[in-house]
Amino acid sequence: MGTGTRDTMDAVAIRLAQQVGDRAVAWLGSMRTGFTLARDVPDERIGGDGLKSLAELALAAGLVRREAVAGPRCAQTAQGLLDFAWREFDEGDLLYRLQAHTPAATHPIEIYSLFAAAGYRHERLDRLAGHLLGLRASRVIEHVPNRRLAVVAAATRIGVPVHDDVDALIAQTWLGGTPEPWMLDANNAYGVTHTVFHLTDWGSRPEGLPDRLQDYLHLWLPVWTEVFCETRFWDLLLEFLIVGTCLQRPLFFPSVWERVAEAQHADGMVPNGLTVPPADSRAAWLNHHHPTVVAAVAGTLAVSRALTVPAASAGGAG
Amino acid sequence: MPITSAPTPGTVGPAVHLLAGALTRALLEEGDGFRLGRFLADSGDRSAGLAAVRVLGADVLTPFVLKGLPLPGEDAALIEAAVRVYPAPQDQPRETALWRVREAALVRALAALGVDASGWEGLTPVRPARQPPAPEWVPLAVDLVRLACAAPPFTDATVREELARRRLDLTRGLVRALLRRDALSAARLARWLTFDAVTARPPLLAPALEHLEIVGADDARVLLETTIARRTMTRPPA
Repeated sequence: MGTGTRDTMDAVAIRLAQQVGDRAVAWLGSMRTGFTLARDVPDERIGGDGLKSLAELALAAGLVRREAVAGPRCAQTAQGLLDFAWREFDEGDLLYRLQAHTPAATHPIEIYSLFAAAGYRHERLDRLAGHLLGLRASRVIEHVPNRRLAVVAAATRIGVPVHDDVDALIAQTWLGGTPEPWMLDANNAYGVTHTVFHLTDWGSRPEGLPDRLQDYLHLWLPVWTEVFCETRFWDLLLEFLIVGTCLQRPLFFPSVWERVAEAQHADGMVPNGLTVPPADSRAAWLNHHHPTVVAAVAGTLAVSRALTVPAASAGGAG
Repeated sequence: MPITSAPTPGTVGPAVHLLAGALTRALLEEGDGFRLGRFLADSGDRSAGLAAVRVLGADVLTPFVLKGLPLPGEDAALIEAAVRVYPAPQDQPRETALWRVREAALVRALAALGVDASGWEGLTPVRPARQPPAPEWVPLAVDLVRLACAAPPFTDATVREELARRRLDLTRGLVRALLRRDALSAARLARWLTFDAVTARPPLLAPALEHLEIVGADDARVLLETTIARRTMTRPPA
């Protein structure tokens, strides 16, 4: 299965990416009750998986809104999902309460930053975030390195000064070490994708990724997409497609979009490629909402970059 | 699941692995003790042994070419017999095209050892017309894996010039094979990457070869490829 036979996004490929993204957003809209947070437990007992899923829904919806390349129906669905997620977080109150209850945690601030970027603000959480991110404690969080970059990105989105040595943080990531490319596995692959997402703010600042890492990804992203396309690992593959759109000279992999479009179900759900989805879409939500969220983001960013980057400056798939 | 090249019983596979092991030992050991004739006599199944000679192509000559040793006349006669008994396929265009490259490498290696094979019965006619290499990196890598017995030290200047423009594609093929746990394909592409290793050694070649020498240690064909690659890299430029 080749992924490198075409390397530019022609009208057909753009339409395909738009179709995948639109359908994914439609599925997320129809399945949004799956993202509802548990309400019969104290705040601190709300499961991390539920918070994460809802945050990812907000991220996708926020990016559809930010890029403004979706059609009216898709844009309306995304806006509805963003409002829904904000309401689920009690318009920021829940995130504030979680952050105040566990000041050393970073996930409430990280989630809040996705809303802050879209103009949804919570004044008290803004103050708490500014206070916490200014502490010496915020510079010694023992996260895995790419998660440290997530906190830096969140601080930037909220508008809080960053005191971290970002170059030093980058150097500690797997990608920052520019390792032998065959040492990639599914675990550090997600580290690579998130390092790129955080440094470029999901493609809005491609220049945030150092040149040497842009060059490294131009060399090896084509190989990784080829291998994960062959294994039909759609979730990770879609994240790689996003990485391609985040580069200064984006890589689009139109042949991979054809495979992704074939894999997407008629109702818009994208399977994860690892487990067989149950026929009942509500049961399928559990293991397949993540790749569908990623598909919504990937489709949005592919269309947006393809429309704004002159073809001559786009990189090929090799 | 790793992609293995373990020999399938009842096929030529076991003989190929035995011959690959014998060639590897001959390349690693000092001296000039390797004889194809002795190997075939010891292996017991002459028919399978001759087929193995055909499968490994020019690689059966590596102990002589890389160590600068003369090819005994008896061994040259055995290769000629293998070519006659197992002629190259003629009726499948794609197979024939690949065999043409393999045969060219064999004829060139024999010529370097003073044997004129141009009129041998069973050889695919070596025509001067060449097919251009595949433009995309995956098909290029797939083709080169199948043509490993035409890889260094048996490449000619034209191929080396073509490969010099495709270093990244070759390395991508190597990385893909390693990620797919296909050690034999990876070893073959690593060997292709030695095409100008004396002057321009790709930085990833050394760690890739070391990796393959360890994880491929149980596979005679992988070790033959890595051993040829090592010997080619340390060989003085022609």
